[in-house]
Amino acid sequence: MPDERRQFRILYRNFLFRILDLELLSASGEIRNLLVQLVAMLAAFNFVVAVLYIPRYATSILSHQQLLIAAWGDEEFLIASTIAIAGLFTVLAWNAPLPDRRDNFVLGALPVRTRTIFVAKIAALATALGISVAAINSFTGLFYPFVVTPPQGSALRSLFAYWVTMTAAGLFVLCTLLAVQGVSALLLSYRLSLRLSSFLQLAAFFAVLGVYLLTPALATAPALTASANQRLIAWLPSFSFLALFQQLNGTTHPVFGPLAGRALWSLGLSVSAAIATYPLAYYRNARRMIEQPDILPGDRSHRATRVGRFIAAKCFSKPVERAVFLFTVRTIARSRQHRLLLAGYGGAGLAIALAYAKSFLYGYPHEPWGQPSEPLLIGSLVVLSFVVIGMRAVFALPVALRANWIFRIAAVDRPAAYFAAVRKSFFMITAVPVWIVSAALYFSIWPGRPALEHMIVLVLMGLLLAETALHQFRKIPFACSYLPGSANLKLRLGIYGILFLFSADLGVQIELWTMQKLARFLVLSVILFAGAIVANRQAAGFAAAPYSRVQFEELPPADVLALDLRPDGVWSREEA
Amino acid sequence: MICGLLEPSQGQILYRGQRIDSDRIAHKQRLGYVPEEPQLYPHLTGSEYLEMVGQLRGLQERQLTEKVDGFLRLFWLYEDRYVPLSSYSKGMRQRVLLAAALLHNPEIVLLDEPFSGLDVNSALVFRNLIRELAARGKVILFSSHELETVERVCSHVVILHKGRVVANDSIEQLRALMSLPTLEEIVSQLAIEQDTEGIAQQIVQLIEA
Repeated sequence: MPDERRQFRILYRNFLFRILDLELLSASGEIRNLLVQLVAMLAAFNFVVAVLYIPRYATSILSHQQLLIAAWGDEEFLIASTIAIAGLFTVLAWNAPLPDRRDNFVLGALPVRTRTIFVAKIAALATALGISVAAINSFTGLFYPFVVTPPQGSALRSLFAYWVTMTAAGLFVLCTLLAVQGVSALLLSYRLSLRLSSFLQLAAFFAVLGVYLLTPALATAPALTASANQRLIAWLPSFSFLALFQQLNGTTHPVFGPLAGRALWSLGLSVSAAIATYPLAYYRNARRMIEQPDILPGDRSHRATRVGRFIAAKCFSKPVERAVFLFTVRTIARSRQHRLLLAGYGGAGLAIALAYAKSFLYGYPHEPWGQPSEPLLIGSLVVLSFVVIGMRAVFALPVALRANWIFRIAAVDRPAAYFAAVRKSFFMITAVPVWIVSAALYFSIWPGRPALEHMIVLVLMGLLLAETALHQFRKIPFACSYLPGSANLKLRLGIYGILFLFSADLGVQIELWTMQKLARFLVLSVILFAGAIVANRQAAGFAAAPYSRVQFEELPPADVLALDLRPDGVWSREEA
Repeated sequence: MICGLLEPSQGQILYRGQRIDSDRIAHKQRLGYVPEEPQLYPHLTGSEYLEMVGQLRGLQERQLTEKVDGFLRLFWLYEDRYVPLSSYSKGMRQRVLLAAALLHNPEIVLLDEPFSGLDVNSALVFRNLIRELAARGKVILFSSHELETVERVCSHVVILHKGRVVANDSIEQLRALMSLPTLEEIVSQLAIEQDTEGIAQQIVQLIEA
């Protein structure tokens, strides 16, 4: 019998680098790069938080006792961030804990015990979670405990309390989501649980993001003790774990006793549920997946498919446009990775929009629903932007890359026809649905004129954003290779999104100002219209250029820049 | 290279006296291709895949619907037309590829190991189909290592060895020239240098070592 420890080490290393559901990435090196980038992003976020916190505590004029109480809000934020990151990590690694069909076929024929594979998976998952939690607390975890050490306590105890709390919070989320998966895998048939799994993943994603962005600021003594808030606080784990931290740190405020008990109770429950269900689900699935196919041979003759075909027939006159549109829609609807990434962007946009409208949600609006206000105006703009940016990112990720030969073989139209088809499909599946939903919302709550004015702005912004997102885009969606390091693009797009958020705030204030007088609004509309026209002209010029070709291979930036001189009318290698 | 997927490093490919790269789009319009590996989009159904290929080739909706339905029926795929390609067997995928290659009535049909994974019934039909298409003036380029099939299907063979043409003639002519009864023996004579029996023995020795 081969050495079991050696087998464990090999499997552990392998599972650790495949922890995220990233089958669309082509090379293992890229996954490694991406993981390093993710960890660096988390650490950078925490570094920014630390930079903001340190001067605030260093220059505070409060007494130490008052400072400890004033710090509750920051502590709750750090815990909530840890919970959110652990939750998002678990959502991204959704398929990693359960047995994999490919693993079963490869490892099933080798003399490796199921127990060894199972333990290696758990160890890889725990390591990755540990790295995420450590990264998101990498800076604050080193200084914050020393700031909030109580007068009668010790700094080491605070340090211990901090890291135990953060680990417990991360473990709570991981075990809760594992238990959810475990229960669904145990109760449902294999095929049904597979089908439900992608919906559960999306639901978990929205739940994690929604709770993080919509949690109200209640980490003060009056808010924590107010009877009106008790039900809400009981459902928000960041407050329970805040109480656990306070208890471990030696704080004796009476409000934290019951809440800390709730944290321990929920942690115990989630860990027990995960231990009870997950191993059983693992062994059950490992058996069932050999006997049953992974992808359901389900009937796809249902109504949604017919609706897609009907829209394509009505909205797209050319066959190539219909082909690109239907391929795009079907891929997004059926590919879990693409759907999840798009949901990530859309969900982030929706959550931010809701965060702006927080005051409406908690029932104490400062602004009336029936009139244009900044939170309501910015909501649609943020969602539109995130959907556009998200779809652009999703378009670049390939699906079944080796099948893209059919697009090359059947490329019987000029490249400009494909670019136009991609552009039309992009508008149809990003901007148009947001416009329709927004129009329904604004025309139902606002009088006609402001609703119409905002819709005009939204339409023009949609055109402008979509043209900008597709600037020099030469690919058929999902049919071009994905280059190692091109994850930077997504990062860049994310950063642009955040920058947009800041400028959107300013833009909405300008929009509100222009809505007061028709002349002002007309000027704004003309500016936006001109911007959209310029962007459209640029896109048309790029598509019609003689060197424009549909791109199927993502090329690395050249180390040496070639002048690429050639006689007129001869393609260079890159263009061919 | 004939499909336009690869750029030739040297030389040229002519069709009816014209370089195929002088008008790539026209060349792609007259070409139907069945690749060796059945690489398809697994999330699409057989019907959706054929519909997409037809649309990419510019077929009008009505004509496309008729053709897709017809091919699915004649290739025994109609019952599974709403099933994703990921659930298709290798033979079914091969039939989808053949249908996709013939959907637009191509002048040239390039078949790379088209019988791979096909059941006996389908193989017999396709063998007759190839003969029928050739009889109607289509150019069929058939690439295969199954020499028995090549012998039955092809009128003219080109044998390549290490990237060079070692034979280019009709099968009858080659048989007569080489005084060998089968294509397999002709190929072994022209293109196989190794001692195949010796290598087999070495492999067995390595297994048992």
